[in-house]
Amino acid sequence: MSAATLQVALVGNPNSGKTALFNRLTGSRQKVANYAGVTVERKEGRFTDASGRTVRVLDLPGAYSLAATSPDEAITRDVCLGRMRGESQPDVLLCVVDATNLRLHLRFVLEVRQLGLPMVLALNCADLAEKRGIHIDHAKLEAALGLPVVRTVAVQTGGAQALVQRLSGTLPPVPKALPEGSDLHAAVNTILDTSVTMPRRTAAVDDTLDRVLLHPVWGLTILAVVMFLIFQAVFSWATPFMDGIETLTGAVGELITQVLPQGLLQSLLVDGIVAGLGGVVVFLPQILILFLFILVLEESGYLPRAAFLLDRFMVGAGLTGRSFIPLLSSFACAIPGVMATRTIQDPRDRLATILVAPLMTCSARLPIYALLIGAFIPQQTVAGLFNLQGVVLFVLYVAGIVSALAVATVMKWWRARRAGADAPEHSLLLELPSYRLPSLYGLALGLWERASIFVKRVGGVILALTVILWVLATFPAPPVGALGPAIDYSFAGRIGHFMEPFFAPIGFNWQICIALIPGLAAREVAVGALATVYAISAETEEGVTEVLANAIGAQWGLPTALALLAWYVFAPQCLATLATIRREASSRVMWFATAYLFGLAYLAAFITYQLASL
Amino acid sequence: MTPYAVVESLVIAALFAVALRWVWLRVLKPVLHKPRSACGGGCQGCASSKPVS
Repeated sequence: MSAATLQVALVGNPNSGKTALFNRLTGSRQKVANYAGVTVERKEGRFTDASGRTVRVLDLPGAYSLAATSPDEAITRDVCLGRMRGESQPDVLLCVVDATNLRLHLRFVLEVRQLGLPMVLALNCADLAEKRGIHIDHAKLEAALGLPVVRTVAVQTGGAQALVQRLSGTLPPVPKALPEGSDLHAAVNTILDTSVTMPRRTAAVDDTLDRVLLHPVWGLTILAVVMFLIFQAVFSWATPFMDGIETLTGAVGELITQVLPQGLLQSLLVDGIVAGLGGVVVFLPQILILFLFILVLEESGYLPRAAFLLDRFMVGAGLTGRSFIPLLSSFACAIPGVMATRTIQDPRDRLATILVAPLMTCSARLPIYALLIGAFIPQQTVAGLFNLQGVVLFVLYVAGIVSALAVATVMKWWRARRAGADAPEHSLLLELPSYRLPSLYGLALGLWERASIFVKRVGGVILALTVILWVLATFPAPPVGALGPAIDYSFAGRIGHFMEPFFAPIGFNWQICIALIPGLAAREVAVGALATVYAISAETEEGVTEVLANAIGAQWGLPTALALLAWYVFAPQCLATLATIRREASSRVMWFATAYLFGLAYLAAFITYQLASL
Repeated sequence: MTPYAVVESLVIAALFAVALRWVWLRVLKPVLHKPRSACGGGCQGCASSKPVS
């Protein structure tokens, strides 16, 4: 580390606003949400202060204590103590506290103060505290803690300006440590008595909302209704945007056809890249609408309440309430979901959560579900109110959740059988954040992030696989005088026909078999692969999406479509998820997850196909 | 073979090679190769973000 660089580590309790402050300071766009446990690894960013000095900022996972009880807390402990390999001890600790919850957060501040490092206290959510009538005497708090206190509002533009100025000056002093064996809880009370006036413990609005939203009956009913309405919106609101993308894709294909002479390159661009990528990109509006709702729920502080409501179901299935956030993250992608299991202390609970996280419906499944629902489920209203396609999508998401709970129950039974007795259950200790109105900036940032991730996948893995698939589906050319479609003689066609007998009992034809292979790299590529295979096979001038929808509608039959939906409720995650499982657990766990998910997918598709064929 | 067909074949071969390399590096290698020893940092540059417990 050069002398001109200052290394600052952000530490504090979970959900104190460290990552929001980190984003504000460094201009980064790390994920933030109004619940604990979002950050599970260290993130790094930089900014240049007024004097031209580079400030390197580390965002560390939230911790309740330096006596770490979970893997994410261990990262924070090791960085603070200078034990992390390849990471020097920070020059300054920037301790972030939620000003509305000082009784809990100051305890950690006092513990960190014992390390004898220069410290600054960021009094975050200062605006909320003022609104609630919590009066904090800064001068007295500074004197009581023996360290500089800076007011911040991390979710507001300019909310960290005072902090940047403070870090630009001289190094803050090393605070005086408490005598060994001091009662930190008593010390916090003394500090609060002298420097903080608390009007009441929680805001009246929070209390009123919680009485309804945490009610065992009304709370669950509201949760079910909210989730149901979200899936209705996914289908109802996305149509005009999807039509726009389809028109654009068609126009690009047409333009290429007019500009380039007929030949291999034209086929690669139109049948391969435009068909493959266009078939996936068209589902971006649905993905963004789904995430808009999830972001609103996250930022409002509702999601931890949902975790509280669902805790008894989770415990009944052998999971812990702490599994909720990892499982929820898995709706976006199983990779952050698996990594978020670091917040779970008990290794057995953590393993169970890792194994069921892939069953949550990740956003990459949405294109597949949407394609099949669009092709086979009529666009009609149920009970004069609900969109049937939305109802089916809701059922598929619920199927993922139910199957995760069922698998967890089986694992719990198996664990208990091996142990000879019921494994001990761990009660949920969850911090319920204050409700707040989601900020437009936060929502826009979150949606932008999701769109960027999706576009990067389209331009990366999906494009690469589409090119490979087109080559495999085009070469070798059919022999002279061949009567069947050219793709039948290609490498892809031969692979598909080779796999077909194994998948025939579940109703999959050779085209689906081809799509399953690149679908392992990224699920949504299965849609792109089908689009490419059918585009190469088709001899029509229709747009790529019509070709695909018409082809599967005409050739597959309902039992095959339902079997493929069932397959993707369980089918093994993409390879990146399996790699993450290995990294977070072990190779054995990864192979076990692969085998059991394959087995379940095949079984579910088989039962679905056979029943639907009756 | 026309000059256009030659260019066409070269472009397709180049794209195919790039795509194969990309899939190998970003998709297959992380699964098939054993992660390096863990630093615990969880940075994107190395395949080993296994936390220190």
